[in-house]
Amino acid sequence: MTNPVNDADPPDTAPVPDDTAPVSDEGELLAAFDRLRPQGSLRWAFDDAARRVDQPDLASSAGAYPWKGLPDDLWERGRSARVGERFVGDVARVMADLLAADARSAADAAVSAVNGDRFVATWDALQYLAARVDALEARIDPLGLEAAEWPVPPPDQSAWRDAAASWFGDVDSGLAVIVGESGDGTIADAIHRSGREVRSVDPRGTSMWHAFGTAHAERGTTRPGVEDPPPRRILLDDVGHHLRSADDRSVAGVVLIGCVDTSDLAEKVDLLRQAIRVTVSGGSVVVLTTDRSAWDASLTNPARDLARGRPFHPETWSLLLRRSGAGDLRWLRPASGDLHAVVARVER
Amino acid sequence: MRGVHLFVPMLHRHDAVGEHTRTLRDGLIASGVRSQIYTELPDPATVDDTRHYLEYESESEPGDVLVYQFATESAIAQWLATRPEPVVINYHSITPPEYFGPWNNGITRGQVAALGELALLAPRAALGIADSAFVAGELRRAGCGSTTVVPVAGVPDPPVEPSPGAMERLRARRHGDGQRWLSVGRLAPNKAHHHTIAALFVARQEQDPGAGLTVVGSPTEPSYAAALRRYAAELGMAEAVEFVSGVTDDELAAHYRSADVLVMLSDHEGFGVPLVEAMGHGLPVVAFDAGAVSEVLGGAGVLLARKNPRHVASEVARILADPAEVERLRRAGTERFAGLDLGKAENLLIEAVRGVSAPVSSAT
Repeated sequence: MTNPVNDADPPDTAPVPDDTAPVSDEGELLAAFDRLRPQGSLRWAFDDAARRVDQPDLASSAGAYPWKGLPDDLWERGRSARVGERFVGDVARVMADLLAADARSAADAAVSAVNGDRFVATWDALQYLAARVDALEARIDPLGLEAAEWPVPPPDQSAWRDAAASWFGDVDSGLAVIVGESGDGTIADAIHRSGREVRSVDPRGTSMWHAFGTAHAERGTTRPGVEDPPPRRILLDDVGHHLRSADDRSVAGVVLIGCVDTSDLAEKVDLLRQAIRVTVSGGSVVVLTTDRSAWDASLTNPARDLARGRPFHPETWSLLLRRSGAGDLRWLRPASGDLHAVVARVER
Repeated sequence: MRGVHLFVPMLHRHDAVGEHTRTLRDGLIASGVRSQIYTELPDPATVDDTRHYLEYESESEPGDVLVYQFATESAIAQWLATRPEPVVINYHSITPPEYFGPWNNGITRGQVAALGELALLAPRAALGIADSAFVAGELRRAGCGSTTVVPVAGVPDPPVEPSPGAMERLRARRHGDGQRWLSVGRLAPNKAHHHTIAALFVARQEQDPGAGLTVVGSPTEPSYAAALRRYAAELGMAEAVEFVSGVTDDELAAHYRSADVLVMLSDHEGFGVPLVEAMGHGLPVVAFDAGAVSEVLGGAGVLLARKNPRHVASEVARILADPAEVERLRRAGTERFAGLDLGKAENLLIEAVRGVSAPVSSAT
């Protein structure tokens, strides 16, 4: 199966008309959809396992484990963009091969239990467990709203344009900084202009596309004193998801904007933990949090009520950062605007 | 009198294979041939119209011919391989399993199994009927010795005229003042609606900020359907992209008549009923060249060799900005629709299956 996006585009060696050039923005646009594939997710795996309990496939060993009998290159042809999910498939295949004999025995035992009390009880328990999980999920998100359906205005980052680069000044200059959600790119641009690699992450397509437009406009322009400008990656992705996919101690630091205002407590804590995990010792995690009363004033009533989270006070962020293992905390008040900065150093 | 009986895994309403099967059954009966539809699983909407396939074992008559509507895995295939009656495979192409791999493990395994069933049944078939030359090639490669091409039956010819009420309801619902794109097809991964959404996003950023898209199709793969909605919302197009399912023929006709362009970027099409429906309604078509698309379009639409979002957006913009090109495509589409003579598809199908003779039993 050919990939019409990648295979047909010519290499980027000469000027070509706009609609034929292999541009990373189109690739990122489509990769953003690939990340929504459920393969490897807990729900996907549970639904499949539950179906196999109910309908054991006795004709082949696929009844015992799911990947046996499928073509070996199926996952490559399926082109899951998530490295973690592909790894799950690979691990599962290896485990299935190693457990082949035991799996056959287990399948035979399951067959003998079909219509027996033990099977019925197991299936009933599984269904009730699923119902309890569904009820819990419904309590957390009864409307099934996507965050993007209730847009919250992105924060005005301009107050921190000049200071941003200084947050990472003394960390290994070869390491990147992650800015999420990068929004209009003010802070990401400032850090990039200081000579550091930046990964701009934003779940909103329009922000990402604007960032690509800016990056294209800058392409080819020389910057005084900078012969080889550092890379700048622009990613249409959820910030938490991107951080979870990053390696330990791999970046100079993380700037968290916007997502820290709109996420609930569990997500906020996870953002901090992931940001600290991926930052090298001596690097910085910066939380830019919106003033609460300014936040309330900026939203419609439904958005204010239905947004999953709301901004925390800088003192609260300081407490959370300290509990997450960061130190040398500084609460910086903006000279203008409503965005406060809490800067923490990662120490190990 | 011998019968020509039809076998299909499930008989759905508003589904190309379902409509095709019912049309064939009705045509056979009208021509004096006994015909019953047998299924493996009942669909509540059509259960009164069907019988379970195993009931045929007690209902078979000498001289019967069995026609199998083949598109997915089913126990019917293995069962048909054991039957003494001549079997005709009416093949609608099996969507390659890799499209479903990341979305639904169960369906993936089903499609792999279906390919195995095709390899089992094709060499035994008395005749293979394909929707297109592209699909006939698949049948021959699977070992079917005799094939013929008959377009999908059940496409209304002439096209259904939408009622004024349906048109007015659509006009009232329309958001934005830009061009209206239409995509028709099940919400399944091989239909690649996400590529259309990505192209719309680029179009709204670069050419037509008010452009909108209506996607008409059943959410047959729920995880893919949910991902499409989320994708549209994340791209800031929750209002600009509308998902519609369960439409009547009248409402579907209204969608074709009120849109400015049909965009079809499927990765795999055995025929592409929406292509001919759009052409019949005079709606310009922009389609990715996959499967039978170029064969069915016959030069009457814009065929894309690439479907990266910017290329699709710029092609749609180019066409819609040129009234002469729009008019040329409308005329070419209606002429192509007339040329396909889909009203005859039913008779051709009946002629093909009636031409399959059952071996004469020495007992009779």
